[in-house]
This record gives sequence, structure tokens and C-alpha cells, in this order.
Amino acid sequence: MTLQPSPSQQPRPAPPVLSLAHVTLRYATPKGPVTAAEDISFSLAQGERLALVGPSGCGKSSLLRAIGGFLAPASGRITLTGGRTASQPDASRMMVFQEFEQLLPWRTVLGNVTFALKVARKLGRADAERIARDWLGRVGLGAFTNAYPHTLSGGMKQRVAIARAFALAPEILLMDEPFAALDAITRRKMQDELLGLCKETGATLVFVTHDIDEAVRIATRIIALSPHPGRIAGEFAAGGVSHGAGGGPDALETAIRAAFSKAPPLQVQEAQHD
Amino acid sequence: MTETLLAPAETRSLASLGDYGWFRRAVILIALAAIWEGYARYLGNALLLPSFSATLQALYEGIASGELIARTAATLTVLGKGYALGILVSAVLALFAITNRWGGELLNVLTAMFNPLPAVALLPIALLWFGLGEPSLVFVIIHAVTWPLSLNVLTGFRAVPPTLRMAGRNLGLGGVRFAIFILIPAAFPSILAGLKIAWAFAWRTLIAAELVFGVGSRSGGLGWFIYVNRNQLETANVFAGLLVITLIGLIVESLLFRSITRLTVERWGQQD
Repeated sequence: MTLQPSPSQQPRPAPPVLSLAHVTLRYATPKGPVTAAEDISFSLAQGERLALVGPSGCGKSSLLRAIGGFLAPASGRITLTGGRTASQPDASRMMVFQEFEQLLPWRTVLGNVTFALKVARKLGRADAERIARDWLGRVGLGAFTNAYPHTLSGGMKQRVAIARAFALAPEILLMDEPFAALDAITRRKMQDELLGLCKETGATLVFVTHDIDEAVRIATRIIALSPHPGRIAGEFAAGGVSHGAGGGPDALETAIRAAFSKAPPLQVQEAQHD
Repeated sequence: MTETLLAPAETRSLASLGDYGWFRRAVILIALAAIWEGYARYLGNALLLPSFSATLQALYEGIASGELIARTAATLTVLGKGYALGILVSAVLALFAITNRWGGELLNVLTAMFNPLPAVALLPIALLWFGLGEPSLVFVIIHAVTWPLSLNVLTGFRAVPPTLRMAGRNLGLGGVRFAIFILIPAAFPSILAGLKIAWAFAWRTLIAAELVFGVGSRSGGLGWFIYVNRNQLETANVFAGLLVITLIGLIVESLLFRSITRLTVERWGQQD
């Protein structure tokens, strides 16, 4: 099932920064426990960009939350650098959410990033502000540092959240469909910007999306999940293919779609929220 | 409407002054004062209705003699104590309620029981327990403040978006720091609304309690001032007392809370 990495990809360094071993996630609901994801295993090396793709209800968001420490696995283990378990959220894994509500509305753009640096990195005010200004500049918000989040557009809010996440220099960046609520043009632009920042910093990224095109554009590796409950349907190396370069992404997209159609149960309609 | 549209050119400047809220308010206030003054003079019975000017005179004399100032200070001191203690009780109850399911149920039950109970109704019991004096008044104010405020604080805490909570926990915030840096500011619109309602309840409760049960002439507040002056048929003083109550209410509700709202929830775009 696994397509082998393209020649451009470097050999993987020894210790993974993240590894999941037979992780199963369950939610308690009024109708009894629901399995969101079942027997998920993979590991991630420094600098890799992994996209978890799948239709609604495949447990990809739950999986990301478990990696973030917001959700404890019913069974299996999620291990981080140095053998730590991902049992509690902390700034070693910074999450960027889809919802704009992730920003603190009572702090300015600068205040949001500075506050995170002060709290999570124990930096002094001057250092925190310097780093925050630098990152806000890099995402193109240098002129909006004193604005309050509610005055920004959706794309700008997500840029603040991305700047905040990058500024903390986490071991792993976790992104849960951060562009899903944006218009197509903004989305496309932000995908390119995110890719640029990742390459520049060598960040390790786990990116959740239901958009195969987005996954192909951003990721070096793609794991396709089948729904109800989420299981790994296939794994693909995207190997930094650039869009439009001779058939690569299209072939990959076809392969991913094929993985979905082969995986039992067959294509489930977008019936439930994640 | 049509009249305004067809108004002759000379009235334009007046119409544009009318665009200012403060101007409209001032005109209405002056008109009301004029009606009051006119009717009181027509009635010619200062025992029943002193004129506006006589009331202002009484207000001036009350302030000049220091009596009104002292009464107001007494009322505000008691109010401040009760309000502060009420906030403290609410904070403890609300924090207990969000950290513990039993705490949540406890607050639900207590609020359902006590919120509909007017604080003044507890005054006889308070007098029995704490005697005639300040502690009884503070007790009823705490009662007036605690339930509406706790209810609002808890509603505010529960309405904090899950994403915002996760964003806070992502920074490693937990326990008291999570409450201070995330929950309280996120719930602030609700908390502020609760503080406003609690203030209004406390203010009305205290004046009513002072009026009915007034506490010894030496430490009595504004309510007591009104009560005593009515007994002495110093009706202008009664009206002066009412004017002070209205003014303080206006200052706190329109200036203090309005300013806090403008500096916080409006600036943050969280005005409901």
C-alpha cells in the first residue's frame, strides 16, 4: 500500500519525535461509547510534515487532540521525544485550531503572541515582544500588532494563531483544518505561506484536513484514514512534490482516493461532524 | 417625521444639535425640571410637593451642613462592604461550581431557592440574628449580590468556547492560573453584567432596608435621612435625599459601568 519515498527525501533520523502505537480513541456519549479511531500506529521524524486526511467522522481531529494531550487514548500509547507520554497538553505541541475563537479576544494581536511566550516559555516582556513582533512580521501582520482580534478578517486571525504557534518553537506543530473556514483564494495563499514557514524553520507538522489537494500541497507524508471508526487506509509519501510538476500530485491524489474506496466500510457521506 | 423633513431652513441648526444625545438629554431634563417647578408653584403646598428650586436649596444646605455627605458616606460604606463580601462569596461558589459537579449542583439549588427571594424579606431574620445595625444591612446586601452574580459568573464560565479553553491549556495553564488568565477574562462580559445587576439589587435593597428599619440616628444612611425628614415634614429634604439617590445611581450605572464596558468588552468585540 505504501508508495516509496521519492529520491529527494532524506533518510529518516533515528529517534522519532512522535510515535503512536496501536492507539484507539473512544468517546463516551449518551448512547454509549463511540470509537473515533482504532489501532492507529505511525511515527514521525524531525522535520516531517504529515497530513492526516479523511472524510468527516474518520477521527482525524480526535487523533490530533490525543497527540496534543487533550484526549487520553482508550488504549495504545502516544510517545514524544525522550519517551514522554502525551498525557497533558503543553507548549511542546502547539495546536492551531480551525475555529477563530482560539485567540484571546481581550488581548491585542501582539498581546496574544507575547502572552503565550511569557506563559509557556517564561520569557521576559522585552524578549517576548521581540520574538512576537518578528513572527507577526513574517506572517504579514507587522502593521496590525495593536489590533484586537475581532477587528481582523478570518485569514488574519489564523495568521495570528500560526505566528503564535511558530513563535513558541514547539517540537511539533499540530494543525486542525486551520484553513477550512477561509475562502478559496485566502486558503490557497495561506497554504503556500505555511509551507514556506515550515521549510524555513524545518518544523515538524501534523496537519489534519479533509482536502486531499491541501494535503498534497503541504505534506511530505500523507496518512489516509477511513471513517467509523478511523483506521489507517493507506500511507503515501508526498516527498515535497510541487503542485503542477509532471503528474506527481494528480497521481498521488488518485492513489489516495483509491485507498478510500478500497477501505471498508466504503465511502461514507459527510453525515456527522468530526 | 414629515415635519422634520419639511422643516424650514432656520431650524436646521437646531435639528443638527438634536443629533447629539447629550443635547437631547439636557433638553428633556430641563423640561422635566420646568414642569416640576411650574406644577409645584401652581399647587403651592410645600408639604406635599416642594418646588424644584426648593429641593435644590435643600440639597445645597444638606451638602453645606455636611449632613447629606455624612449620610451618603454611611450608605456607601455599608454598600461597599456588602458588595465586596457578596463578590467574594460568589467567586468562591462559582469556582467551586466549575471544579466540582456537586459544587455545580449546590449553586444551582441555592440560586433557584434564594434568587427569587427579595433581600429585604430577610431583614427581619437578619435583625434577629445580628441585631439592629450595620451587620444586618451587610447581610441582606450580601444576599442581594451573591445569587444574581454567581448565576452570571457560572453562566459566563460555562459559555467559554472549548477552543479557547484548549488554547489556554495548550500553553500549560491549569488550575488557578487557568482561571485568572483564561476563564475570568473570557467570561468577563457575563461577569460584568452580573456585577451591574448585583449593584442595582444591592443599591435598591439597602435604601429600602434603611427606610424601613433605619439604624440609629448616628450611623444612619440616606434611607434614614429620608425617613427622619419625612417624620419632621421637611419634604424638601426628602426630595433632596431622593435626588442624591438618583444621582448616585446614575453615576454608577451610566458612568462607572458604562466606562468599564467601553474599556473592556466593547474594545474586545464581546458586547452581546
